[in-house]
Amino acid sequence: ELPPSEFMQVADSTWLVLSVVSNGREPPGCQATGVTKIARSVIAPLAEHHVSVLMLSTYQTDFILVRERDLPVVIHTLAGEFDIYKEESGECVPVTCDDVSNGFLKPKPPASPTLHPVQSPQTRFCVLTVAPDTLPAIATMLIDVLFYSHSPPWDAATGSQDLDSITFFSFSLIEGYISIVMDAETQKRFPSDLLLTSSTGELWRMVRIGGQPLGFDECGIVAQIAEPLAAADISAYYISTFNFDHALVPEEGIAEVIQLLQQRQESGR
Amino acid sequence: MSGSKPDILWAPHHVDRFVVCDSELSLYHIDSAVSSELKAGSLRLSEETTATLLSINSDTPYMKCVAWYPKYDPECLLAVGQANGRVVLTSLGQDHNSKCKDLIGKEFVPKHARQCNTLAWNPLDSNWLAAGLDKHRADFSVLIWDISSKYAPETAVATEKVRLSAGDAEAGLVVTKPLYELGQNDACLSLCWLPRDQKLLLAGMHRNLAIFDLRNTSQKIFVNTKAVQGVTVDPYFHDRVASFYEGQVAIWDLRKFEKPVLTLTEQPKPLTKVAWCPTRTGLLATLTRDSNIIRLYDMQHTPTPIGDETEPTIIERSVQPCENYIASFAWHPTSQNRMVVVTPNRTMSDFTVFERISLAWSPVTSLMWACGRHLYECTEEGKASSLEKDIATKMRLRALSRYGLDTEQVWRNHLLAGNEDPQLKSLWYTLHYILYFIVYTEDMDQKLTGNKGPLVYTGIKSIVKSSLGTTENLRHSRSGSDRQADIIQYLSEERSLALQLCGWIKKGTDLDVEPFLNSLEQEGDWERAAAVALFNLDIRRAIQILNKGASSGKGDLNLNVVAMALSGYTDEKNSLWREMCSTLRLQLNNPYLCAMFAFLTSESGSYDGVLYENNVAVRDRVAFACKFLNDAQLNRFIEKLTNEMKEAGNLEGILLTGLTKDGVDLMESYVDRTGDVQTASYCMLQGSPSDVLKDERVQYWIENYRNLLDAWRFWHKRAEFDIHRSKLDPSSKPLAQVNIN
Repeated sequence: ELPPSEFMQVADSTWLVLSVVSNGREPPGCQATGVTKIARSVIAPLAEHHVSVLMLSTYQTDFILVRERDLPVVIHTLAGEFDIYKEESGECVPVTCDDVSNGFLKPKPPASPTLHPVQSPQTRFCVLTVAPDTLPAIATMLIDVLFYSHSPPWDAATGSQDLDSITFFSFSLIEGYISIVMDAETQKRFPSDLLLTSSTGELWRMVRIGGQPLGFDECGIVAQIAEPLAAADISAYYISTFNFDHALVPEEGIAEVIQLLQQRQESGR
Repeated sequence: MSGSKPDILWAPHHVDRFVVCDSELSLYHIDSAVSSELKAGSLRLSEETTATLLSINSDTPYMKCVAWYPKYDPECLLAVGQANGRVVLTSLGQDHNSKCKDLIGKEFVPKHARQCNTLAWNPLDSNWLAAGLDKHRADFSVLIWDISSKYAPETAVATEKVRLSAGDAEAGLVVTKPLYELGQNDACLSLCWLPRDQKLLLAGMHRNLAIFDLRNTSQKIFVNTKAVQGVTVDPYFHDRVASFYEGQVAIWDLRKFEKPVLTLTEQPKPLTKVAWCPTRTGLLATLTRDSNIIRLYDMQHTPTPIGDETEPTIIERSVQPCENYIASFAWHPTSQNRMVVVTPNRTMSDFTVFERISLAWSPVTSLMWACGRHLYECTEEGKASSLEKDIATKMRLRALSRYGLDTEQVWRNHLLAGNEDPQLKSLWYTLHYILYFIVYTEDMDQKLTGNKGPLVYTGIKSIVKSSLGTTENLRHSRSGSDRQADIIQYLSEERSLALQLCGWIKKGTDLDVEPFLNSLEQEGDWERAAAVALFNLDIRRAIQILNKGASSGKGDLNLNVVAMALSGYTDEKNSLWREMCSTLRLQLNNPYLCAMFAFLTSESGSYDGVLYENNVAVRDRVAFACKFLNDAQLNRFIEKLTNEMKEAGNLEGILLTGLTKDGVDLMESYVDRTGDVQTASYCMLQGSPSDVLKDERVQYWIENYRNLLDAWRFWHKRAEFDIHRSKLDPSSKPLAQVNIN
């Protein structure tokens, strides 16, 4: 447990992690991955049931975070299409939906959710992993990048926000697997044979969602991004952070994505 | 296998080669050690074997797993899976034929780099190589590569983007399109091809074991389990699979895949390797981290039960191949139970697991023992003299000759036993005389009946006890001597009965030993005949016997000399003859001659020289005592002798104890000494039912003997014994019907 400190802000509730495990029965040729894959089956239904979600995409898989108190609603919503299991001390235990809590739906908010602005810097990012036993070899560099890089604080004058670069670095260590998102320039500072990435060396562009810090109560944020992407069948990484949400799309598709997202503003949804 | 600890692999087709992999691949050649000195560059693996380093390959420093090409040719081709997911083919030997040259250096690159955990060559179609990688959200983690595929030109988009490493200058050496891709969005931790079909692959995925069927890749059979590491198929039972997680091993039956058939005892430390022994059925070896012990689980005698509630029994053993912690081990592919282990600092040692030995005795003194694949049989040498043979052998031979079943002339049974044991001879003669007396004296006097049936059964001890006070004294002179000498003889009915039991006289009150002497002469037992004649106070007869003996075919000429010495008998107490005989007699070899001179030179009434001459038959000494000792002395002597016989378990004492409880005690002592339940059973069957047969010791001997006959499969003989027994003991008739439920 980290001690409370004035330098740290902690969100108020406890969040539970969900991950979608494929059962191997996808139709062949299904190319979409990441949030796009689960947009229709998971993200949209949860948004309709007013469950606020955070997402974390890693090199290995995608995780959806929901509040602990929303869990019954989540189970109820998803039970129709998915078999739900709970992990208890390493074993997967099936969970059944509890109909009693069905009555506790939140009152419906106004019909149109807030449409959040998006920004897309020019920075190119790559998604990497590292073999755990080589982590000591890059540890110094990691610490340097994490804590000693110079970037403007987020609450600097919003008007003068430099759209060409948003500094973003993500390091996650989940169940022994490491996943890193860093921009291409930073990548050059690391020894190349220790960072493992796709063999085609694909790079990603980021779409940052939200002009203001998003907070944790609003639902439907992921859905409003994921649905247009799903419709266009574009894979995306999606990482929610404390302030904003970030979607990573393939470099060559960024133009199309921006266009899609702006269309949704124009269509006044 | 992690990069720091070495792993070890045997060549699939060369039984003397193996490879140690850590940051480099080293090929070793195993030799049997010619002498105790090591050649330069050899490492000693054990007392009999050494290993020589043949070559080293350091092309792939980031190797995570290695698999050896399973076919004979090319022989030293290895697939190496690296930390970045690339699988590269490399070679270790000097083999440079063209087939191999195409393959060496070929790389198989997945779309997204991540660690390659495991590799498995297809055992049937050796162009197929399965690789299991870590998870990626957009990629599959089980890739089946075809090693003979060329660089796929249709992925033109990828051409510029594939980052070729420094050595791959030529196109065609990098393959990016696998034959099959399986297992989306899930990590693969271990792989194993199933031998029963070329296209079935068993994979340990992150949370389940899955069987992929390559004929229909959209379907897979899977079972949720934690035990997903180290899947390996039993080479002898193709439906039996072992896998592990942390410290627990699970054994699966693929025919009923829902849950493991068996989980082995959980170890405190996590396991690092699990391997079936390829040379022996049902032996699984497991190795835990930081341990110098390899645990072996023996499932040989337990077919995997399907749906049974009872768990099969597994025999667990531990072996310690070397002193240090073991990093990895590998079974030898052909040598039985042999393995090579390697320690973290790369010392290796060659070790053979010694099988348990099982023994089996046959009922007929041959022994079989089995150890692994060897079977030995040992049988008893037939040349030992009969006295040294085991009692079981003796009993078996006697049973074959129908020992004990002669009920007409009971004494003949000792001949059936080989006529080698004087105690048996005495026993059967005693029985003979008892029975003879019963049979031929139907009209015997009432007073010779004790209160427990015929007195004759009760042995001389009881007989003489009952004769107290009825003895007449007679004074006799030795016939043929010059002077009268008074020898006191004692007579009574009981004593005469005793003499009959000793065989000296036949039925009748006339104490005529002539028939007995004749029979002894016929047997050539000259010394004994002479002594008996002498004890019957007939010196002339004794001398006559000795002369006859000397002149007979096998006679000893010295008997003439003894006869001459005998003829000098004089009563004079102080004569030279007397003095010389009493001292020199001790140097005579034959006990009877010794006893004769003792009799002649002893004072009347003190005949210890005769009585305690142990090599004279008990019956002769007892008969002598019955003639020449008074009641008190006789009783004392008989008592003492009986106890001696009982302690020694000497069957001659049956004469004294009779077929009574005392006799059972003596027989018990005999059985303790020799184990001869056969004689004990036959003898005691003659005893009286109330006294002897109900004794549980006797029943025990009889049952034991019957079981022995059954064990030797002498069914007919056992049936004959049962008939014999039921005649003598009507209460023991066996059931005429047996019900089997």
